[in-house]
Amino acid sequence: MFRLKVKEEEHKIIKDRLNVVETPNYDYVLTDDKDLVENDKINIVFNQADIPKVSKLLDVIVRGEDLYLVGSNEFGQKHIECRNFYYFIVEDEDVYGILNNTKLLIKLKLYEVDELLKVKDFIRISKYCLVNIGKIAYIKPELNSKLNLLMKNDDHVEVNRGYYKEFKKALKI
Amino acid sequence: MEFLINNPFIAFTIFIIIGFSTYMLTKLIDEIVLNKALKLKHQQMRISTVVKGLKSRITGLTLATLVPMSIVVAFVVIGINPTIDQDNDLLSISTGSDVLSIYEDFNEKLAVNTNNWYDNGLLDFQLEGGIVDTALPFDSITYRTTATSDLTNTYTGGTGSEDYSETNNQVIGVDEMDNVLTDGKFIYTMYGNKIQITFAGIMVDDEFDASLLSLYKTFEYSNEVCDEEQFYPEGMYVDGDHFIVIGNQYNYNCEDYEYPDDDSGENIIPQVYYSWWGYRSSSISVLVYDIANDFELKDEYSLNGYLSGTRKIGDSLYLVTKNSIPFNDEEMVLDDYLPTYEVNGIEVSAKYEDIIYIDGTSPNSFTTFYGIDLSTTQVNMEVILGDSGYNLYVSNDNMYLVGRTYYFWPMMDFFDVEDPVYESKTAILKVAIGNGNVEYKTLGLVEGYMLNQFSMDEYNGYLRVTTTEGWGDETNNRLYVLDEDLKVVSMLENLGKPREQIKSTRFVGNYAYLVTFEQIDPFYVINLTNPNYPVVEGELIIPGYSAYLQPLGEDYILGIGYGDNYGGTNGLKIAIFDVSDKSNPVILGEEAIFDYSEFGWASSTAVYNHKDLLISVEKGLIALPFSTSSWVVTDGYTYDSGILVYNFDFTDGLSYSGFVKHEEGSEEDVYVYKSKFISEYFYTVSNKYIKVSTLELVEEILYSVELNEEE
Repeated sequence: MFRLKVKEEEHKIIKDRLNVVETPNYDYVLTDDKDLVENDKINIVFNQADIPKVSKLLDVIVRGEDLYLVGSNEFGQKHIECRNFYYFIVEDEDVYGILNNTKLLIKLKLYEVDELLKVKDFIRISKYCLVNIGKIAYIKPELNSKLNLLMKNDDHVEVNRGYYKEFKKALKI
Repeated sequence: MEFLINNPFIAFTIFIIIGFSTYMLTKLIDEIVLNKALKLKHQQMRISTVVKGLKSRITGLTLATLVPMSIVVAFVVIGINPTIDQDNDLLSISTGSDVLSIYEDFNEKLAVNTNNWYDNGLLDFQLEGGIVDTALPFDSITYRTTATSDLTNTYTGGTGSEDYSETNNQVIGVDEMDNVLTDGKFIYTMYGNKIQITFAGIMVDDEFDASLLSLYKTFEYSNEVCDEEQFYPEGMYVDGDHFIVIGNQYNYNCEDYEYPDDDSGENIIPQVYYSWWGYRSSSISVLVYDIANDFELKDEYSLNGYLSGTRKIGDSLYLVTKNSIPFNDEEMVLDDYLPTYEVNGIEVSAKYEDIIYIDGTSPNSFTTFYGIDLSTTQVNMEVILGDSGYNLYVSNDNMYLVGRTYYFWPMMDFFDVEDPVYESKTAILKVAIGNGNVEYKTLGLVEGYMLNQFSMDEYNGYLRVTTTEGWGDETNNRLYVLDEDLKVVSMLENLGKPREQIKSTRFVGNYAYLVTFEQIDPFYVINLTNPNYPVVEGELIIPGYSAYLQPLGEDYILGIGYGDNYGGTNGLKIAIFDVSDKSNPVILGEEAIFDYSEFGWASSTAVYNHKDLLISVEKGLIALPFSTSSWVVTDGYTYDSGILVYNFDFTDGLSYSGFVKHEEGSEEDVYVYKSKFISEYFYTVSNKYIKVSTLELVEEILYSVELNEEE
């Protein structure tokens, strides 16, 4: 998404301070030298003194627009920003969104949630489960060729064989 | 691979383990790749990554992958190069059953999948069923003394010459037993079961009077018909006080049988048949005669077993004996084979708790080192359960007995191995000696086999040895330097040209002289001044080869061996190597060659028995037995046997002096086997005569005495 164009010797330090990952296909050029801007890209020219601000700006860019889902539990209805969900799961034909300590009943079909959240780095891992890549703590390949995902809330979910390729693609392996 | 084919279960297990480990390895790689990708993805998403339990997870997985893999690797490594304990630990023995269990354990290892362990040649005794009576009574040796009466009082009072030839010993000060000796006054000879003492002469007005040559005394041991205890002298020692005879006392089964004298069958001659197959046991007798007291028997020592070797240093006599243990005989009583000695009738047996066993050596016999203080009759013994070896070297301070030690495949009870012996090495057993004491020190190990006692030499605390391993293209000749603990300090290997074997070695101080041979004879000079870095300093390539090397001082080496006039080995060759320039050894003067094509087949025992060689550097004298035989249709075989005499000096080398024969073209082989000198007189000894000439004119016989006359 980003390309950082600074002096060679400063490249690593600035990259770390901006917490930026460079990709071959990028939309944004980040530079402290206005002569290095690229015409067909979005250029952010910054002073090194403003790196904290630029970093926050990049957070916003990556995060994109907030997207809220409505769910309910015994305490009533909630509007939750989608990235807070760890995963979505189908239980008895109902879709639940799993948060850190609780789960909310979502009045949508799982494929509808999938459609909505594709751009937000959610990935389908089985017919009954959609997972937030950002909330995966560890991936453990099982002996039966499935993947066991340890979520940051210590829940375990399983990537089925049929979704294995898609999952790897989402991680860009 | 052969091992795996022989062990399908092991092969299957290894296959499963390799399969499992490979699978686990792919999982591990997969897991690392996936989580690395996840981390990168999180970075792109600008999310801090919390990876839970990664370390323990990876550790667990790595272990799961590597442990079985390591087992397989260890297996393969052990298979290719097993780490076998080569410490050769001493195992303690306290009872006879310990000896039996050591033997059984060794034999069990040896017998694994070997139909006939006997064929391995490791256990070299062949006494199965041979021994009937194991009890060993030490019978006093009976002998008749025949004195030439009119000489007894006349000559024993005089003094002999102080200038006489001693045995050609390997080590100065370490006397080796021999069959002909002189002390400057008497000449001692052995024949069959007889010892004969010939009066050689005494000093009269500062001149040695050789004209008095006469037979003085004969000890004839056990010549009674069908005497079941036969004593045969094996060798003698003489010093100023003692005349010592060492021999074996064999116990036979004796049977009478009748032999028809002619075809008619009427003239029956009773004969005695000594049954070798029915022999019972043997003991070694050491008879010490007091010279001053007209050869009166002073002390008699008996040792059970067989004589492996002996040396004498001053008043101390050292012997190595072997008592083979017939483990296969079910009725065998081990106690009967315990080394036992008797001094003047008092018997002492070894105790089990004093016996040493060195792990890996062949526990087929008791090998005993005896130290006898002749002045006090004190006897010390060190008993080792193990093979008595094949080569004995004795320095002034230590005895070195060379045998083999065996290393077996580990876990061979579990595996199906074709040859249970993984490796065998030459084992050098070191026993410290001094003042009649003997004490086991240590065991050293080297590769290959040793040729003879000259393959070893102790100098400044270091033991130097030469060995040859293998044959043909695989031959490897090595020279080792070992420290006092017999740990290898340094080694030279691949000495000689390809395929050559060591034919002779002689160590002289800081130098080793080595002859290897296959087609030609390289004579090597090896500098051992720095025991850590032996170096080949010089080399001389000549046809033929020397089978025995004798130092003539520091700078010259006499070589006796094989060579002919055509570059081959069909003859006897005598040469002196000038090694004054160690880097450039050369032949001094001319070689003496006795080509078979001129002399007929000829031989000299000096080639393999250094004690048959007479050397005097002071007198410039070399004398050695030389024997040829020829076949003439009318006469049958005739023998020409005598002593070949050469003079030498360090300018011109060898010069021929003469060939001393006792009978010309004799029909029977009057074999002249020894020569000695006393003052300026030259004594040659055959089975029939002692003849005297002078060193100046060796062929001109002045006096003669007949030995072994038929009565």
